[in-house]
Amino acid sequence: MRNARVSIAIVIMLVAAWEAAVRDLAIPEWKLPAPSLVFDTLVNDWSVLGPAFAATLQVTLAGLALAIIGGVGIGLIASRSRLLENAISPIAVILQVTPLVAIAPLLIIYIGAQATLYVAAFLVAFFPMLTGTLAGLRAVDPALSDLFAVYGANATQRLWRLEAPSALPFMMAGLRTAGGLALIGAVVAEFVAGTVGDQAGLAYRIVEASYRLNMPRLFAALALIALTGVIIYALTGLASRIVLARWSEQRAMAD
Amino acid sequence: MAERALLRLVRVGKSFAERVVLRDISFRMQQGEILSLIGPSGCGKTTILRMIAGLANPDTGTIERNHALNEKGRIGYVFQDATLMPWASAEANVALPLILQGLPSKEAHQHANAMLAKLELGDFACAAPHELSGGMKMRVALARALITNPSLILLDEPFAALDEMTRHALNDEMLKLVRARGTSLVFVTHSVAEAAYLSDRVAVLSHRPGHVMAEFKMPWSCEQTPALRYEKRFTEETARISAALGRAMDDGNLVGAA
Repeated sequence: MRNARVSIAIVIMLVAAWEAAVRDLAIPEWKLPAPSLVFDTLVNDWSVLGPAFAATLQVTLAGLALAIIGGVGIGLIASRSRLLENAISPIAVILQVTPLVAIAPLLIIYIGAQATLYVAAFLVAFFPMLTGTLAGLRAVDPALSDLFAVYGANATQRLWRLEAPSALPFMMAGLRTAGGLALIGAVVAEFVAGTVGDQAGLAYRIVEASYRLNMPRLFAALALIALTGVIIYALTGLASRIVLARWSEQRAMAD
Repeated sequence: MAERALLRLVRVGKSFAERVVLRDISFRMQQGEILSLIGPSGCGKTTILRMIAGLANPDTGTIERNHALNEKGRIGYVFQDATLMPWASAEANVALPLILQGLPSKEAHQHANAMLAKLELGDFACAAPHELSGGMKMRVALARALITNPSLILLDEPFAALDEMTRHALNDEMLKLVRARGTSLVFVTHSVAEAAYLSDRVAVLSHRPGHVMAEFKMPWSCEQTPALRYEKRFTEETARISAALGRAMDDGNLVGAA
């Protein structure tokens, strides 16, 4: 709690210093708008920014959910055999190392702008979920593995009672990385795809505001993207704490 | 042959890559017998336990298990570390073997709870492993090995990391529980005193490749009391075992020097 208070105090101090600097130095709003103006814009332009915020949040969370299902699912399948893992890993690596911005135009042509957003958020978040799942499933304590063998555990019992719980801390670490990446994926894809109308997300509003040199709105959209990131960070952190509640403190800290 | 042995090892050998770890290991055990294996580090004691448990197969020789040992859960295993599932409570850890045997969870947990109470851990059934001391974790591991009421328990230096008082207390508790049930033990240890105190027989293994160099029958079968540790005959027996162990170590040093 004390840490949280310090963090909040620092953020408030920085914002106050920014406000004071803009006023004292009479910086024009098209160069750097004051936080108070950004907040006013946020309220006044909510009819535009609100739906954009919802759109970006939706794309990010949907992409993340797909990545969790896909990463965990394919990780489970790949962990069943070396052959499958070797077959899947080059594809996963190629997808991971190719910059998303480079793939996005192709995706737009093939599947359209709207679908590209979801696929982009999914693609970047998928890899940490896959590697987390695979690493976790391989991190089973060999002695515990022997114990299950001594008691004649079958494959299903091993998976649910040994491998899955062993993998959870790794999967949760993967989830926290994947959450941040899904937002990056969604924002980058919006920049490239430039979806307009009701579907327009925060990134599109930023591009639009920059063309119009509408700095207060640009900052307001930026603040909402940061807020989206914070929400996802908090959600994945909460999920991690709930899921790993039974784990020993040392293990949770080590991961 | 008077009685069919519970377990019989006949000229068992094992190599890893080019390295011969065990050579011509032979011994037999009757139901209810406690055998300690003692020997220099790396002489393959753990490998013997793993082969008995079916976790590894011998390269040469045979391991004959009484049919009583072939059902699921008839052999218990206690590792060097407590080897508890860190995500599960003490009770859930103890219940695991029963659940793997297909017992309904509720019933398995009831049995586990009763077993923990026997090991004086009744108040800690819900505790996570990281909340327990080293000795308590070992008690949980012991409870888990006993829960299926096995015919044989294999123990791989289970109490090596514990302080002497805790080790003595656990030795006595374990003896009481396994004697009451007629459970056999194969007990691997580095401590001559512990081997002598617990066992009906102590087998001294040689340096690698390990084989049985000497076997000692302890004269106090089934009558161990804490006072035994301070009796003259106990000191004499441990001295004999220590001397044999010393020769086993020397052999290794000679081989190493050559």
